[in-house]
Amino acid sequence: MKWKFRPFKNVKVVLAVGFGLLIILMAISAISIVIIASEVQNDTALIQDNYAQSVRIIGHVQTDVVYLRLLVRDVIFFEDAKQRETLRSQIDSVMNEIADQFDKTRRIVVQPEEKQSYQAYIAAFDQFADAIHKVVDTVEAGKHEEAVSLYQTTMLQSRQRLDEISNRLVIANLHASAVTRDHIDSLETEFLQIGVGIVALSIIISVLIYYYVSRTFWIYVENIKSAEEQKENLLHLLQERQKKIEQLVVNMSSIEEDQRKRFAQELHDAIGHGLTVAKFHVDSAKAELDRNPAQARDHLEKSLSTIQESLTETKRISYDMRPMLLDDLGLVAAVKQLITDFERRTGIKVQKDFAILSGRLKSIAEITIYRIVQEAFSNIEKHSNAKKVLFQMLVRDEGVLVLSITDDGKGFDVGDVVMGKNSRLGLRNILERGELIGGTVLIESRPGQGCEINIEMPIQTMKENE
Amino acid sequence: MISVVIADDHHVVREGIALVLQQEGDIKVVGQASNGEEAVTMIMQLNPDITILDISMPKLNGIQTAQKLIRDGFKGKILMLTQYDKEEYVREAIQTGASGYLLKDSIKDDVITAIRKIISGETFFSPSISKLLVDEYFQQLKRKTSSKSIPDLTPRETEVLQLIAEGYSTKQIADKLYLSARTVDFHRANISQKLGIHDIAGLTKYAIRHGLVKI
Repeated sequence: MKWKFRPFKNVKVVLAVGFGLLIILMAISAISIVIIASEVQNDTALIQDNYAQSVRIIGHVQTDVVYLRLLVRDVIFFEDAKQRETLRSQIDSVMNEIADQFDKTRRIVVQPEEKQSYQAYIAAFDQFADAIHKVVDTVEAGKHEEAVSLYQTTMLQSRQRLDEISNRLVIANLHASAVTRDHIDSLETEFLQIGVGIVALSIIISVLIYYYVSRTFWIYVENIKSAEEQKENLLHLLQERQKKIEQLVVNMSSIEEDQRKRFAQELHDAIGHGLTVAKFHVDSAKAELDRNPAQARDHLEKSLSTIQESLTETKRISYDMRPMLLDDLGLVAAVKQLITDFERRTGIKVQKDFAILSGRLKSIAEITIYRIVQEAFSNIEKHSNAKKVLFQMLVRDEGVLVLSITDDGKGFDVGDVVMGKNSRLGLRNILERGELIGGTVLIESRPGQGCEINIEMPIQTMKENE
Repeated sequence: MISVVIADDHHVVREGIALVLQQEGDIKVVGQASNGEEAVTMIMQLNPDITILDISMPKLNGIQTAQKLIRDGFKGKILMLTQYDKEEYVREAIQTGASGYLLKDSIKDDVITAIRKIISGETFFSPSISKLLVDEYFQQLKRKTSSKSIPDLTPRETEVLQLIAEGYSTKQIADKLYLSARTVDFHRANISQKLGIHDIAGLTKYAIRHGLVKI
């Protein structure tokens, strides 16, 4: 069994990649937060510094404008030249102050539209300043009436324009801050979206990692469990096999003991008894030889026939113990002879089909197969009341020797007779001998339906090593 | 003069035969061997008219010895000697080229007759062997008259083939025939081996062609 499961390696990779992704995501989110935060900060600064400052500048300028108007009005009403001189220098210093303020706007304001607005504002102020200068110059020239009319028309008009523009500018500034606030809002939304996305992605990755890792370990644990189970099964099988072998050894030795017993009995009955009888007749013949030669001859004849009987019995017993045909001519000839003898002895017809076995099998395989066939036929003879037997020996292309022995006898319950409490040693023997040479034995029978014994044996393991 | 070599691993048997042959004036035992290899060397050297070979001998058995002798160009006659009146021995002996087959039981009565018959070109079999041969001959005659519908297949195999052709699975066939699935597979493998057909389509075709299944 090949099993290439390397959970730890895979899990390591998944963990590394997964956590790597998580770290990258966190870094991205941190950077985004920093960027967004700094953007927000900049925008806030813009509002606070920029716009507030420009509004302040405008406020300042507008205040100065009011102050300028009052100064110009004083210039018109004061007749004393010295006092006017002071007023004029005051006007100039206020103007310079305003110019300074405008300089500041140049530094603050960057947006082009704003710049334009400021330029318009500055231009309007310049007109106002021109108007002031004109009024002051006219007063200086002694044209009082003209100065008053200039003050009331051109100067106040330009001042009104300046106010209008300054109002517009303030409104524009307010608008710009509103836009900035919108921008901040949109940044917030963006921030939220990115945040939610990152959190969602992190959760998904975490779940995937969890799923993969837990699944991997689950499979791993399952595999360990099944391997454990397999081990247990194997162990169980091994134990069963061990038990079987032990049983086999017990059976074999009991068979051997039975055979010895039978052999001793037969030796005693056939040979011992025969020789005793023969000896009796020879003794009698010896005693009668001179007195009654006819009687003596009769005794000798009897001893001869007894010896012949014993001889025949001896041959039978010897062949039964070790069929010489098996050694001399091999399995097929020995089995053929076995079947011929069976037919002659029982009168049961056997239909035969023999394979051509090229080469000899190992001696142990040949005798085992022979004994199996012998056992099968012996069972048929003793128990089956069969009229016909079908015997087949086949060799399949894949190197399997096949034996099949079928009778039409009275049959039996396989479970009961082979394995159960009514088990017949003969059938069990067939099973065990078949297993001994690596074969598979299939016994099929039902009461009244005959019996078939089918055996498959791998030839390769039974071949003589060349 | 008829020259004889006797090969048998039993000293007593060799001496017994020699003793019987000694009484004949025109038969001479020129050599005795105790195993097949020794017999081959001796016979090829002495080139006797007839050689008596025991079938069950060490090193080379009688059959193998006879085969080797004939291969090596031995022109004399061969008389097989054995303990057993088994057809398989007789069949093998005849196939090998032996002219006679003598049972050890009847050496004393028959060995002279056997040698003389064989030398004159006839064959000899011990009486009980002759009976076996005649029996078998009649058996074969009888067997030839009975013929099967499909050659080679047993009735059980025919039954299984028929059910395969009718489209039943191994399990179904097993249930129908009251057999185990493994036994059905056993028969199926035998059928395939015998017919040389290894697929269901081919087996079905075969069954239809031989009238096992009606379409």
